[in-house]
Amino acid sequence: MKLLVFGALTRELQSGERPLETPLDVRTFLDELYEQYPALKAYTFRVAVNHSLAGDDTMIRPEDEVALLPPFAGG
Amino acid sequence: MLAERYQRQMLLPEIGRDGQEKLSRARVAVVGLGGLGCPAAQYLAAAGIGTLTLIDGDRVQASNLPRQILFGAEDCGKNKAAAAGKQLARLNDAIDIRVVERYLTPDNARRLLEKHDMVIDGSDNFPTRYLINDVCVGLDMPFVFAALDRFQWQVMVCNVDGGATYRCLFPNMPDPDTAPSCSETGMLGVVSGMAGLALAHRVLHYVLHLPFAAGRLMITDMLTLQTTEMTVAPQEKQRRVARQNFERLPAVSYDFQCDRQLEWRPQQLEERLAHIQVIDIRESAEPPLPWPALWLPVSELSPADIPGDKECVLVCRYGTGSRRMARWLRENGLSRVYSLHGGVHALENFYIKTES
Repeated sequence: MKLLVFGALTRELQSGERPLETPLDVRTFLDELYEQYPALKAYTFRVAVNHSLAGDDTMIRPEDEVALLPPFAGG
Repeated sequence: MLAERYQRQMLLPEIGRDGQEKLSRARVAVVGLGGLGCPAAQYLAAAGIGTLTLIDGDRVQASNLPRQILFGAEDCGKNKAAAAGKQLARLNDAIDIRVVERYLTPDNARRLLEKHDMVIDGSDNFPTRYLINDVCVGLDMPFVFAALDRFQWQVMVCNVDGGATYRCLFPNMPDPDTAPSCSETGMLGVVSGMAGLALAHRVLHYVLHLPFAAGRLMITDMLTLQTTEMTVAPQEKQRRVARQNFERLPAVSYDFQCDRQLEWRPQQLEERLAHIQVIDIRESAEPPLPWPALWLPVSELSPADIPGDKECVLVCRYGTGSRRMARWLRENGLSRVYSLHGGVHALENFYIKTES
């Protein structure tokens, strides 16, 4: 899967290809991500799968593009 | 003169005389005349938007000038809405420019935003963003927001015909500590300028009935030069939350949650004023605080500068930097350091409320 990371989250992890053997839901994906990057728990962000905002049950497949979207504050 | 002024844009078959008339009848409110609001308002005024309401209680500082391009050095210290209004009137004296030298607050938001066709959210803080969201949902008025993070900007048109809103994207107000402002992370003027032009573009297209991508969040990264789009579906629950808040105004707090161990509200500070040290940690001590204060800009602040013999209250613009700094100072052994909740922004609202 292709992971896109935006805004303040790029201070914690980078965009790029990530190995994904089998499909998994967003909830499981986030659990694994939090385990790998505990600092992410402090952030507010939404997950988009293939350019649509996703819920916890949305499935992620190996060929999908997943984006982590935090709110931006600057103006 | 008018026909000549707008001749190039009227030449476009998508605009023509009809479109120009639509622009001249349009009423747009711009909240925040900073790095986003300045370029947006400049292009809207130039294109002939009939009524522009400029809302901002902030004052121009020298560090604003590279990106807030309606201001010159002589404007430093002046109110941003007033300085912007003056410059825009020079640019186009055939439009109606209304200046509101106040921050948007739960008390004034409905009155200031109603009777417009669209609102531009060019603010730099979440309380204002959620307030605009809720008032626009309540008034059934579309709005467009843009926001910045270093080299990235995001933009989305919200609340068109019951469509997606900011709360549909982010239901709850984020912790300010995780979403830094331009004054903390830095900003290059062209990046906020492009976001500001995207705001103006969406407004013009909305008025002209051209495509304006409602409910599509667009994020552009100016370092990689890539743009990504996300579709945001309207959430009836979030629209309901916004409407309920709107109906309860002004009795709705858009403050960040106050950490009572660490933060004081303006009234608490006033009550203890005789026994404490107020420390202004803004990079520029403008506008001045209403109390005697020690000025220690955050970039130069060290634990050794903090008086240890009394309680100290740090004050910054929105109360986010001061909260972070107070926490850090406590970790460094200064247990009697506090932060003013909401910063100078809340203070201004506090004083407006207590005066009236």
